[in-house]
Amino acid sequence: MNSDEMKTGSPQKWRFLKPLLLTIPMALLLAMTLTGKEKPKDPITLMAVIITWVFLVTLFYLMMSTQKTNRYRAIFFSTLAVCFVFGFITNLIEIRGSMLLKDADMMAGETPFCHLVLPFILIPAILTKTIIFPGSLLGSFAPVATMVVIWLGASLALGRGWCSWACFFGGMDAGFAQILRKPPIKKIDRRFTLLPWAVLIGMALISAATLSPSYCEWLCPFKAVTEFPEVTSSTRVIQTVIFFTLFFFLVVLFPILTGKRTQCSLFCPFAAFQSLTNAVNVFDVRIDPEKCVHCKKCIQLCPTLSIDEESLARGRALLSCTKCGKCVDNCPKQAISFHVKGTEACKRAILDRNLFLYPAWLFAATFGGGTIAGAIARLFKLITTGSLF
Amino acid sequence: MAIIKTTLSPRDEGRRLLCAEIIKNKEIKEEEYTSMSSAPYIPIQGFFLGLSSGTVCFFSCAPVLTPYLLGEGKKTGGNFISLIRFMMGRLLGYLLFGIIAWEGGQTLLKFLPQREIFFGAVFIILSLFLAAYGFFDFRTPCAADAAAKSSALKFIRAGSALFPALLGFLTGINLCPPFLMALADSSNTATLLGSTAFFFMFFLGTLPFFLPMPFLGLLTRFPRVRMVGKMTAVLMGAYYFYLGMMKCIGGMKIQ
Repeated sequence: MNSDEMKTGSPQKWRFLKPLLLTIPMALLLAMTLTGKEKPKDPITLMAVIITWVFLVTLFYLMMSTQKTNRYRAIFFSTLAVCFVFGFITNLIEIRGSMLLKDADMMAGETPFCHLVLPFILIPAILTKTIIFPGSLLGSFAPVATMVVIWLGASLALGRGWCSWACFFGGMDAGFAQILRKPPIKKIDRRFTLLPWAVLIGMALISAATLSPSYCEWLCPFKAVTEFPEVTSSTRVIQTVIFFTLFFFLVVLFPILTGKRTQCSLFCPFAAFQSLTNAVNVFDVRIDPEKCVHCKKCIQLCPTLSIDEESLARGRALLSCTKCGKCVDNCPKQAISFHVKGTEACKRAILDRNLFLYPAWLFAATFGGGTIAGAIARLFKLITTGSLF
Repeated sequence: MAIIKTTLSPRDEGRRLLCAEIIKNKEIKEEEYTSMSSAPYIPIQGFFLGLSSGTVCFFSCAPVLTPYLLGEGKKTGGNFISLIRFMMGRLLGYLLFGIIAWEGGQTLLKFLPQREIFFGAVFIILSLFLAAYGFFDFRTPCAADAAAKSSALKFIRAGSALFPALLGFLTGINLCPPFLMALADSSNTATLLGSTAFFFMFFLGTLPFFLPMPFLGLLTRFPRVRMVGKMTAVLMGAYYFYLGMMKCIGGMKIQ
């Protein structure tokens, strides 16, 4: 067997056929989930859906044929983030006329709900049986119930893999982290990886005390590229300054300088909360101690600082692992692999990888596919009609 | 003997009548109390007010107490001692308010600007303590603790023991919504004993809600919990500092 055959475990003649066979079910499933019940009647939308489908199926095929996970996942992930921001802002401008969230919109419960708020509505929901978020439970755009159901599904399928496969915000700092091949800041004090837990505890307590989603009101950097409350008071000025400052530093500057996803690994409270789901999720990342030569490349490359010397010695990534696959792709000895809990670790790496990739890609592509198709459709409209709306 | 007649202006006359009315009301209340004083006065409504609004009270104190308990990294037993100290400080704050309420609780509520500045200052002091707690370790090392003979070490030891009480006191004198209700209710009682007893019973009513807190000690099996607690303390410090500043600025604007 040559080196490629060694890597994939398949003889040369199966090289194209096997990944193709593995891709066909995914292609069919994605065709169903992207089109919904029927084919889109509008030609622009139809074209956007076809392009999205081809894009997603091609990436999956490449993942299967090259055995590289992170390389193609990262393309999808950053595309999703860009399309989300573009689609969301144009949608807001179409509906509201601007990115500004007015008090009247909040009073009417028309604020779109995002998963980052989830940990902060739990305690008040238990205590007061009310959702402390100015959105609607079922109706309108991005209702609370829909996001909760999606989050539950994602947590079961991916655990904290959500943060590298489906989070429409995560692709932003992940994208900026890829810009420099050799980032100037090499070392980050690992104590800062505890900060998301502090933000989670602090904001959950403040939310329970004030019965308001404090993280959204004060600290969410993604407000800068989605929607933020209309500036009508000195408090709102301070809040808006905080949103933009945090976005600039945590999502743009620090990722470029460090090559790490600083917002996701050093600040995001939802990331800390989602780490807990890794404890119950069936997939994790394992390190084979027999193959590992302690080159520490994985420690150096992990974008969320989820492998340290201690975890290397234990043979598994930390609870904060987002299953992005970067360490798996780059380990020079193929000592790192995806793993299904309850089975023997590092012995059936290809099978376990496929078992992980199917639910992960199906969920990510289904959840993100609509966003990508929507953004492409908007672009087509702009090209053909000269207007985004 | 000549009788000197003094004439009062209508404004002074009004004041005199108001004072007379207040004294009369107070005398009536005291008479009522004296007639009942054969039985001990227990303001049970204070207890029920505390019991019914304990959740709100708990979540007003939890942003201060939780980071402290996590940051100490003590086991459940140690946390119970810390909680007792915290609650003692809180009780002291309540009793202080019991006295103020007896003296003129309603009047206190009327002086809005000064009240805002006062409570803003309390928040700022609290924030500074929380930030200091987050950034510095005030505990003496084990070896030094055993042989703590120098006055500096003794001071640190006493300080670290009193610290939860201080936090409790500073949170105890904050005006959370149930506390305002208690203040309004207790100011109707005629005597100092009645007013402080009302606040004591209110405190007892809120007590059960705090009892699960020491079980945060179960988290000490995770080695980094202390650091998370310290970081949370700094974050909470920033939050209270902002609240304090806004209250002070608001109070100054009203003035």
